[in-house]
Amino acid sequence: MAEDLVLDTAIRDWVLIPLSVVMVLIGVLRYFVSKLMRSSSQLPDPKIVKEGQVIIRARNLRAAANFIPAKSFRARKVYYSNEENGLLFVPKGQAQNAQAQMFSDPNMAMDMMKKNLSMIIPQTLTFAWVNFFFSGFVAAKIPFPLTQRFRSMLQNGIDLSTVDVSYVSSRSWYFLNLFGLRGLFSLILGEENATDDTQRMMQMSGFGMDPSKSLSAEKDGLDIVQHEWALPKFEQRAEAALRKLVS
Amino acid sequence: MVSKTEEEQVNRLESQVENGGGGAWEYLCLVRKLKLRRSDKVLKFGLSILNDPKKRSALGPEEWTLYEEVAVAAMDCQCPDVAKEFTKVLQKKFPGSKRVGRLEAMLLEAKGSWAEAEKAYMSLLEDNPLDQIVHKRRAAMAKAQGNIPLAIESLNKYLEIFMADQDAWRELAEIYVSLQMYKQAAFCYEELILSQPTIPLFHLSYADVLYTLGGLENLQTAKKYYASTIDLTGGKNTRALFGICLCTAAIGQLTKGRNKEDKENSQLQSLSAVALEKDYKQRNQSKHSLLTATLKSLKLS
Amino acid sequence: MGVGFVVGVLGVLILSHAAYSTIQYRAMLKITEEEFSGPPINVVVELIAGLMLCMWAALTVPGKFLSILSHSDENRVVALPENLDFMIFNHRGKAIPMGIDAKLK
Repeated sequence: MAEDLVLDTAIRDWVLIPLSVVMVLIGVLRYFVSKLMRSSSQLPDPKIVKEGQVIIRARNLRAAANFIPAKSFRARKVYYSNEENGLLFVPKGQAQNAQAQMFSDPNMAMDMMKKNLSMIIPQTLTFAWVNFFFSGFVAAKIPFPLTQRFRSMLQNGIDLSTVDVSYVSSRSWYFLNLFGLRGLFSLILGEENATDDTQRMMQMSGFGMDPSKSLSAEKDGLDIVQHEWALPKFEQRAEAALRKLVS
Repeated sequence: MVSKTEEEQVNRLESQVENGGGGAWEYLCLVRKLKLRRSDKVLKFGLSILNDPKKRSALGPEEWTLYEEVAVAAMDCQCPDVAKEFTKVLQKKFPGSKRVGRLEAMLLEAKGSWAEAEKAYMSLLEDNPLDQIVHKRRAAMAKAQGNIPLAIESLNKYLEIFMADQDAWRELAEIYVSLQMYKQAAFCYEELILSQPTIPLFHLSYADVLYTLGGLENLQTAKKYYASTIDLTGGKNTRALFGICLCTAAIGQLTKGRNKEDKENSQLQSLSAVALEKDYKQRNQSKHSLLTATLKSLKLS
Repeated sequence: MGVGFVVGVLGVLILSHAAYSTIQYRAMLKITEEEFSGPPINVVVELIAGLMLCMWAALTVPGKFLSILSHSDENRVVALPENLDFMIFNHRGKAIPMGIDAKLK
């Protein structure tokens, strides 16, 4: 047990606090840089807006189909999913090139690159800096015991299995700051700040999603809807309600 | 959507503020939240807050929302001068804002200078061709000028893109009803029912339209929708109760002589008649005799 | 709020005390080298009491339950919101001046 490990106060003054402060400052800087680089809000394409609205409307139809008479439902179904000019019908050739078109759009590629650059460059730089100056020593101790599994998370850069897990290495402190400062940023930069790394990574992975896919998914969903008019049941329910009211 | 409790709350707050009990800001917030159109009260109470520097500064950034709300109310109360002053204040605070631009265009509308308003809206649309509110305002402006075909046309064009916008569907339905184009109106109400199936008022309007269209099938459908309104409101909607009685009477008239499966459904009608009588006895004794006469004539026919 | 909150805190305290005594108990078992077969009866009683208190507090403190009945007063829609996006000013109010000589000071 390494319970009597004493940390130098100089570590606190010269590693722990500077590291946190630098992380916060870099986050703020990155926010402003990305704000500068963001291209002036481009207008959404009417076609994409329309597709989104079609999906909402078709979803409504699917959810509440039983509330309208069968005739109206059939008319709508044909309107949405006929093979000629239905709203949800995507011609075959068009489906594939949507993604290619997205990438060929120089503006969009540029935008993505800018976002990536503003995220990756400062991260690599700070990581190199932390690695160079502060690698390989214990910087802090958390006040509660943890199991061995947390060793890789908290003692990154120290290859000693005898040190108690509650000690945090400086590199791990950097990682903790990198991912844990989101709450602080949303406090100082406002709610919708652009420094949210985790969310941006999610966005990146879902970037190439293409709207025609959701259209055809919605069409498939609509195709299998069985229309069963709910209104005749309501007569009995209304009768019951009235009986309760009258009595 | 305004529920019963909220309606009562608004009315209580209104009379409280009217009698000098305070709570003007809460009232204004509630009116904004429920999207009510009580322009005269909003103008009066809003002015009393805005003219009091202490109360005004207590609002913080909400102050500007209040300015906008009161400006629109002033336009609605035919006080364009007052509205102009508010708009000026907002213009000073937010130069170049599109929202203030819309407000200015609305001011032109309120003054009746349609051409200028149209020009202002067009320039707003140039900046952002997908500005929903501006599109809606243009349709409303056409309606205000009495150019209903144009209003319908622009609404249709708008719904071509923003087809999930309920408010526009509702406006279109109301316009169609006013033109007695009931088939089209029925389509719009179906759309509204689809988007919010639990709101009884859409069921009720749809039933009204179907009843007006007439014909046996439509009447039967209308009766079903009146029934669903009764179910969703627990039988507290008088119009739906009357609707059931009228539908049953009309269906009876059409199927005179060949009444076969009609017997089972008559329960609903008699129940709603009883419910109506009970309601009238409770709330309006003096009109009770009128009701009995009406019901009797319906049953006889 | 007050009473419910106090009860909730009490429940949490009881639960944590139960956790603490379980740890103690296991440490003691380790010393006497016995097998752990189950928590002692007083811990079980404590757990149940803490659970009850916490549950009661969690159900009362956050607020009242809302009605889910479609015809209850809170849910019954009696009026649609005015379609304010389509508000027009060219209405009959034009013929009847309101008489509000309001001025912004």
